Amino acid sequence: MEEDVKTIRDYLDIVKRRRWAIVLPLCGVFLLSFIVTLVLPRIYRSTSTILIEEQDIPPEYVKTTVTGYAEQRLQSISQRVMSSQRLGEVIKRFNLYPDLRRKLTNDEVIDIMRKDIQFAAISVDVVDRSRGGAPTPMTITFTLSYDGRSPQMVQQVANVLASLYLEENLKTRSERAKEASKFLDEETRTVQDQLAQVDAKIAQFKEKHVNELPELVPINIQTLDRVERDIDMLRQQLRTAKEREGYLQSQLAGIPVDASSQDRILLKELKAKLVQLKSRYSDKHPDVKKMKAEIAELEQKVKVDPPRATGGRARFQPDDQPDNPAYISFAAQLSSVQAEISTLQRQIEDLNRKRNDYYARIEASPRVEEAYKALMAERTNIQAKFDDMMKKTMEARVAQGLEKEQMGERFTIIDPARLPEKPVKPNVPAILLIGIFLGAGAGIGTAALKEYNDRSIRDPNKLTELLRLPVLVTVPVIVTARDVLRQRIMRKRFITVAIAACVIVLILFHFLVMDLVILWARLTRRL
Amino acid sequence: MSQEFTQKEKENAGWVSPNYSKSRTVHLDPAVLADNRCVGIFPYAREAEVYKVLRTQILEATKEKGGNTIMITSALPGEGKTLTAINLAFTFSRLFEQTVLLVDGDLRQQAIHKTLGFTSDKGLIDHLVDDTPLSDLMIWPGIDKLTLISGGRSVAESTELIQSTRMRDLVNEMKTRYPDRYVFFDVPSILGGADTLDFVSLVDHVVVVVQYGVTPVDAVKKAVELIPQEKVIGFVLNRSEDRPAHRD
Repeated sequence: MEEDVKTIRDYLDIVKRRRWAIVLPLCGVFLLSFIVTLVLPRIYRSTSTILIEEQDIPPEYVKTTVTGYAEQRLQSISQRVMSSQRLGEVIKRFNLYPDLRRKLTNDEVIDIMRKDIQFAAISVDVVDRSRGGAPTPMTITFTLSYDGRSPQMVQQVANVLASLYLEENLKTRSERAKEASKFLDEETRTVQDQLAQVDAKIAQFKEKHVNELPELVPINIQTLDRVERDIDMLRQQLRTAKEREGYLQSQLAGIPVDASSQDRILLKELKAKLVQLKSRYSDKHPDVKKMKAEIAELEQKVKVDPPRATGGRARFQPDDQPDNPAYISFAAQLSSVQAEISTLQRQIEDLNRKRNDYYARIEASPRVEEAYKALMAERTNIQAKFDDMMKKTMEARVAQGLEKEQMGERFTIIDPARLPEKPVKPNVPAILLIGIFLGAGAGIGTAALKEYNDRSIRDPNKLTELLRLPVLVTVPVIVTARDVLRQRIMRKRFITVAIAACVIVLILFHFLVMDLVILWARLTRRL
Repeated sequence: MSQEFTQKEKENAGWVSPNYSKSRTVHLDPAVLADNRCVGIFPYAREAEVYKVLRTQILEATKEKGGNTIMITSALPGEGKTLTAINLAFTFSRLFEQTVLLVDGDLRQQAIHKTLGFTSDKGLIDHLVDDTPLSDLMIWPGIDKLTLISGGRSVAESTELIQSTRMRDLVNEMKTRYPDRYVFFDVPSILGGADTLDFVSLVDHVVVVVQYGVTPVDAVKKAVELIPQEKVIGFVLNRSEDRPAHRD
């Protein structure tokens, strides 16, 4: 029979044949699902709705230091609220899961509680005009639900959970603002220290290079200029003095100091003659000997008054009392000029030294300037950083104030957890529906199995084919009057039972699942 | 066929009516027959038509091969052998030229008289064991040309009785006493015991009843393989739930 292509008629026949194999499992499974709905514990759910309010003061005025998207913050808050410690406290406080706590470990009970808590964020698409572009989903509210067997307990726990979220948010935000402020303060202090350090360095540097500082360069140049001019002037003076000295000396030379000077002139002449004689004669020549004797005599004479005898350059000698008044006057002038010259020379030397000093300063300036500039740049940077930090610190302080006053983004319970009136679980219609489907499946499965395993004969052609013997005739089921009567009675009985069952099911549905009036109202609304 | 033939009309058409003066006569209650689905007796019954078709087929087969003893059996018990035998006998008895003898060949459980709703204390066993004359066994149920043997006790050693010479002689006598007589034996199921396998050798033809939607095809196959295939005229697919009856 399996190889045959089956028509709808064949299937109808099968259904007819196997009606009990289909109906009984169907009814059985359905009844089972019905019992399951009755036996399953009623689970109630209470939900709080919490609104995420944006900060009151426009962010253009006060920027909060607590950033990141609301979703992220919600996640982190959730993690904190759902921590084992917190949930453990709640469990202890409300004495939740008394049975389970006896059997399971604390962590397992907390895990179960986590599963009983539902967190759902409600997002809307928001077009941020300032940023422009496509609308982005933004969480504006979220709901917190708790499932449990007792409606009162569920409501209380849901409320506590909501308040935990609120508390945690507030705490996190103020903590974050405080931390930001603290961090900025610390940073500012560090920068301030850096600034002081650089200042000290600059002072030290200035002290070290006090004459070579770039700002002194113009003054140095000016001074150098002046010194050079002074040197020039002094040199001029020196020259003049020297000229006068020469003049005076020449004058002085022309004036004999006294009589002794005659001998000296003679001595000179004799000495010159002697040189002349020596070139022609030896020392033993009588002329030379005579000359030498004469010279020696004269020298002897001159030696008595050596200064007078020296001749040549006239020199002022205090103990030498020239007796020539002109000579004395010139000599005095000469010595004064000579004194002036030496003074001038000293002065020029001094100025030269000074000039070299200034040259050195000016030469050193560019190098010093480089280092100085680097230092100044460092200082300017640190100063800018410091200013920035100061500004930020001020802002952070304002933001902290914002959080403290709860003017920042905050959570508000807009719909506190209510006392649930109806259980959310078990989902009776769903379970019943599943029951019907499973039952139908079981029924069809049973029927199919029976049909598959059925090796009985229904088709006379098949019998002929298999056994090579003809089927003479197919005798239908002979229905007698008594059969008809019995069938009629059975049908009546069946209808009665079916009606009774329907009524019972309706009554049970009315009391256990849904008020029939409500069901009717829903159905009419849908249709 | 708006009304039954009268006796005169039947005789004109060649009706052969034997003398049943020797047989016991029983009265059949139509209500009991109807309740027990013996539709062959009611000419207007819808199902009676089917048995007529069967009758025609058997007639053709027997004319072709000869022989007039037909055994009604099945693979398994409870497939409707007795009822088929009864209805077949009733239908054959309506034929003008043939007479019919219906014999309850189930020596362990005589059932025909119970189905027809009368009591009988003598059956085949009485003839085989106690030597009761055949004429004493015959029962006339008030239907022309139909006699039947059913009732009495039942035995455990049925197989031995069937194998006996007396049984062979008895069947021979049944076959040959009247010309144009058809003898139907209602025997036990083939797979139910050895009786039928022995009985087969006594009869000319076999008709196997198969219950629609119940008898496994393997059982039928096995049963047919146990008996000589050439004697099998064919199957009767019984208790079909298919509304329009197949008429091959």
